[in-house]
Amino acid sequence: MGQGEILVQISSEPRNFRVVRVTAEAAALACGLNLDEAGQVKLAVHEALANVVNHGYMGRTDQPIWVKFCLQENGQRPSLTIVIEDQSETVDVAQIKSRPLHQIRPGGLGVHIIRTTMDQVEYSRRPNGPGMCLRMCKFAKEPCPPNEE
Amino acid sequence: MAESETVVNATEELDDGFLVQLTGEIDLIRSPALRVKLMDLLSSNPQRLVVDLSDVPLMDSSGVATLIEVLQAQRHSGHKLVLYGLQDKVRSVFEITRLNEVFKIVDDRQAAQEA
Repeated sequence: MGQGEILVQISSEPRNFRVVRVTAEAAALACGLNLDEAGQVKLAVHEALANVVNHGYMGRTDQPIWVKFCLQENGQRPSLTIVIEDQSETVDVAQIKSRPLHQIRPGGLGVHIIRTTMDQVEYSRRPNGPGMCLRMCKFAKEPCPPNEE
Repeated sequence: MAESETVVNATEELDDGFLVQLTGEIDLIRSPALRVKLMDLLSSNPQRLVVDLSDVPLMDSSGVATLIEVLQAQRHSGHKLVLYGLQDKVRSVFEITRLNEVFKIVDDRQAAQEA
């Protein structure tokens, strides 16, 4: 693991999401995102985990989920990259899409929330084994103040 | 304690329906219990269902989906669903999904009973 990386492994039990949410918010704040941005990251991570359980693992709560946080604190624009991997059945990434919002019905909201709150979102097959990988990134809106040291 | 007992803090009968106070996070763990409770209330055909969200710090897409189901059922019957007391984080979920334009969302109980 590189510097500025945090790795969390949980089972797919939704009660474990809170730990990951808190970690996501803390990581976002630590690398310079503001409170609103950190809240959006937290929400996106929660929705991503929920999608893994509901759609990837079909509700099974004893399956592994890996969440990696990569903090980029340096440079003009701090950012947080989050990579979520699972061992679920691989699906066609083209099928992962949010529903049109004019359709007022339950379902499909999670992907929309993720794509709206995060700056970069990319679904792919997990590189090191079976399963899926979601990589998403959030940049700070405001650049870092100049270092006065 | 069953999730349905913890997700609904109180239910109050109104002249034209019910007011339901929710409590705690409404997520994929607790949304099914909320759905059962609200659908149970709808079985008595209330003209107005008011949902107080002031004690709900987090609602995810499963919670929103539950409320969409209730909204659809109420609209189908020509009846109302009114939400009030949304905390900022809950309100932002409705705004992100643009459902703040679909649901009747007001500031307080009085407005909810008059909406």
